[in-house]
Amino acid sequence: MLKFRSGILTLASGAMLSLSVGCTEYGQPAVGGGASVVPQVVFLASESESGDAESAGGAEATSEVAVGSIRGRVQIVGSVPEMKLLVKAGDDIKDKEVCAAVDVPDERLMVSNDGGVANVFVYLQKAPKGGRPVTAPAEPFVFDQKNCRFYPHTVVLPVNQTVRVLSNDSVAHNTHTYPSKNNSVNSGVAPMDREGKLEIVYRKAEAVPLAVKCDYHTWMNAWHLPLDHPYGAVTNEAGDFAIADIPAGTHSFVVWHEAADGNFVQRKLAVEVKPGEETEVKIEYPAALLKL
Amino acid sequence: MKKFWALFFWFWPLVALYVCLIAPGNNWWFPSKPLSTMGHQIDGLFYLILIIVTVTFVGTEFALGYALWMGATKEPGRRAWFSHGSHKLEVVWTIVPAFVLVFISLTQLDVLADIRVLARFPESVKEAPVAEVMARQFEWRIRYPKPGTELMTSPQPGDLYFVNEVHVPATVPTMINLRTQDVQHAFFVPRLRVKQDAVPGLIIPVWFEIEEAGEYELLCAELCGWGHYKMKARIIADSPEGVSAYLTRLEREQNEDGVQEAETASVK
Amino acid sequence: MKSHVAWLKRAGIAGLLSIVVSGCSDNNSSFSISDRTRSLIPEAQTGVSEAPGVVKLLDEKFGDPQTLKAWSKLPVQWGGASAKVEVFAADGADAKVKFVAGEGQTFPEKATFVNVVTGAGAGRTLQLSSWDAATGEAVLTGLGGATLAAGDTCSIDGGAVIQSGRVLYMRHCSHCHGTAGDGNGPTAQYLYPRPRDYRHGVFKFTSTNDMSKVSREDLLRVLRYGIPGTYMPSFLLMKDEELTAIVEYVRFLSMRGEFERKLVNELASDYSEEAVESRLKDEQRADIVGELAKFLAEDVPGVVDGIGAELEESWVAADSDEAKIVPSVPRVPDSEESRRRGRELYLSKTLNCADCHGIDGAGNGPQTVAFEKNPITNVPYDEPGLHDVWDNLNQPRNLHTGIFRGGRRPIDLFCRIHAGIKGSRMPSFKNTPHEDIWHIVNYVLSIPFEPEPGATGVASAPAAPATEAAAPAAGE
Repeated sequence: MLKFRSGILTLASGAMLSLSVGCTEYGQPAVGGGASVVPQVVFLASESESGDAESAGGAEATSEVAVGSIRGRVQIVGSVPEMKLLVKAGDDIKDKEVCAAVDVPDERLMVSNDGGVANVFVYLQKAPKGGRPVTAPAEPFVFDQKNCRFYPHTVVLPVNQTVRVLSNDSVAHNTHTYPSKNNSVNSGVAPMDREGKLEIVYRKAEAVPLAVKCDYHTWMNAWHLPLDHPYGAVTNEAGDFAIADIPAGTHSFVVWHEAADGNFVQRKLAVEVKPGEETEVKIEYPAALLKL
Repeated sequence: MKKFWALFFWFWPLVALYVCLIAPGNNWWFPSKPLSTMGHQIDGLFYLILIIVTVTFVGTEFALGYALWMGATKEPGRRAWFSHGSHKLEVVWTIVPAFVLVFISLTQLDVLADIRVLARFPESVKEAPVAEVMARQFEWRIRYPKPGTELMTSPQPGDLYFVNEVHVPATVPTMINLRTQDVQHAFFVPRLRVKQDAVPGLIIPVWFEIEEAGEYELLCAELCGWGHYKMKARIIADSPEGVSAYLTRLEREQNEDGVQEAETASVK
Repeated sequence: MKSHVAWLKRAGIAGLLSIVVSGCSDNNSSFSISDRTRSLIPEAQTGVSEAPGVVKLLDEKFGDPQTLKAWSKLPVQWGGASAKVEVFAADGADAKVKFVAGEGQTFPEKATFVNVVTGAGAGRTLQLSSWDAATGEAVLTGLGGATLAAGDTCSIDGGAVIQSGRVLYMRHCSHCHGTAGDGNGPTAQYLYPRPRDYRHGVFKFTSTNDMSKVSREDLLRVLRYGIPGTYMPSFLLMKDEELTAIVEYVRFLSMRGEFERKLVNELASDYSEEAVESRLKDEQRADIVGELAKFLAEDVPGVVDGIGAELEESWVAADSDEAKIVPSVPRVPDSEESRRRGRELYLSKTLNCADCHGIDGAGNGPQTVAFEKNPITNVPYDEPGLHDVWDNLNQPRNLHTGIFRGGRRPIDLFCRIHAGIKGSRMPSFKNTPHEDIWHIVNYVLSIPFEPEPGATGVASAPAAPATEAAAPAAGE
């Protein structure tokens, strides 16, 4: 009898303890726990208290600021690896009548005879104080593809400029962008589309160039860098670049290349821009950084 | 103290009987009266067995309590009476239950056959199931044949599909083909007293005749996974014209091309 | 046994039983933090001195499942009506207040509480002891000394929808989709395909164009009818208000995930573990952290507002008429001819459907093995093939099964082709003439009923150059 009574008491007390822990009430600030609790809702105002009027994009245009410019070359230092062709004419690859009609070089590393590296991005990450704002030209930027190769391979664009995607190939392509901050685009492009029905607009500046690829022909590659200021450039075939009308002062430039390990040749290249002068900038690209 | 146990064993059966008597009044009984023709027969069997079992239960509990009472009220120190068993008693209480059970099994044969044997289904339903009800974890996928055609075992172009809602005609014998896409489920409509397990690999015809138009709850009655408890659907019994109007709407919705607006409100 | 020992034993068993039944933890759930956030250096995650990092900002703007924060910038229907205070008159411990309904808002018939959004009492919940919906007059209690000024924004019975959404979500959805909507609930590991991770803000089956987000209607549709061929069931039997509440909560979770992702995007290129490691070759860690502190204190508040504005714009646009795909021509009647034309287009080099979906539509085209590495990171995939934005391996649909995940209506298939399937490798074909898309839709709907695979129309795949000459004409 004793055992029976004590057994019942044990069970009852255990049950009561567990029930009290699990109970919640509707309408109160969240009480107890578990999945069925009704949460409290706290309302926050739209704007944060310390929101500054000037955000990271767009600088004020002042005509008072003294400007200078820079010009330079990205020079490879060290032994340059031999770059094989990406596609040799006549290779047995997908859509070979079009994609293997001509030789296609491997654009990841294009070095001129003097050692100048092409397709290197040199740009300011943020608009400098006193810099010009950038306005998107009404003319769309033409982005073409021929023989399964994008033209141009690299470009710096102002935000909000329309990029018109054309095709000079008789096979279908599909342009797939991989931005960080903008919306990704993945759309088919009809063969021989000389009008450019597909239009891409980058609304936000990116911190690093974004990849543009084709899903049908996975070796096709291009890089776009939308910026909200005009202080960015890409080196040409000789490895040369020039940026004009930069507000005087010391600026920190990003030097970015697709074949560098981690992609940054230099994260912060300090350059002093003197008013009214053109500063010569020599950027060394150690071959050891290459990751191909 | 000793009488306590005799009273204890007499008390609980009386409570059980009392609760059974007041249950229907307090809505502790079946969800509603049976609303299909088969349901009446099934309920009849249920009550038959209930009565037999109740009589047996009350009888045996009374005998048990009586034995305890006798033991409790005799004076202590009395000599016990030894029995070596009674052959006659053993025979009696084997044969009588055997007869009762055989009786029950014979009585229910008819009803079972009416439900399960295809040959005994009403003529009108055998050739033309109204829909295929495919159970899957944790929903009911319904496939109706294109209005004007017969339901085939394999999907046909023009078949109409819906989920978790079945429209069937009321007051007309109706048959559905029960299948399952994954594990065992069971097609259970409590108010119609219809229950049939869905077995993977089999197509099981289930027929019923709903007596009143309205909405019925379809539940899954075979444990099929974590969502078994919420695997419910609606069966809507309507007039044959109502069902055919519904199917017309469903067909229109299923062929929606985004340009021609559906004339009626979309099927929900 | 001595009685006090026996009672001790019983107390011990009772305690053990209660723990076994109720558990040791406090039973509070929490929103998960994504792997990308975890790839930042710790200072960027938690913050430096006063400036909050990603995790703290997330908590500030979105709260945790027990205390949700309703950031008014987000286009979520929190429930309740937004209103401005017109008159505030303290009356002992209570206050008589007159509210004016916000733009386009109607007062609820009954209300029991008010959430204060701006002003001195911001963030507080006050009780309404009386409420007149017709005039907007109310008596507030529980002020505790707080005062409201004319012009303060409040929400009457605010948050009712999101509260209900959260409770329902936790009961019905979180076991697969996870508490934070990360597609990683306890049952998720057993499911193929995996449940949706909302945190990218991308949903596959939409009726909106390729650059827009999913609309409320689309989400309701998925809830009502489920996704056949996957583990997403239909919730048709739930009431409309319940489904609406769940949709709002899912949008809330999606916005939270996007906020996290966009905020981390701003920080990742300079302050991820990997980036900092390479920077340490040239810089000191203390300098990097100092730079981060400056960034967090000065620039991040503006960034946060910017992200809020982006979320507002994109999610509001998704429900607009401009976002919805409306074919310019009604569906071409389903005929042998249309299906044949559809098959021609399917095989043509203009659209390249067969590359992924296979010559006969079995989902085994050559592109399914073409992707061996992630095209961006160049990290090889565990299994080569087409991967979606959630890193799951996608099989292109086998069109013979007759299972259409996004819906089997002709308009659904039209939308799949026109906008592609967002997040997956199915691209959009928005520049294809709509009539051609209808031909393909008719063909696709007929594939499951073909007498044998590939039997429709053209007997052999026209891969010869002769059709390439014909291809430019396809741009009709």
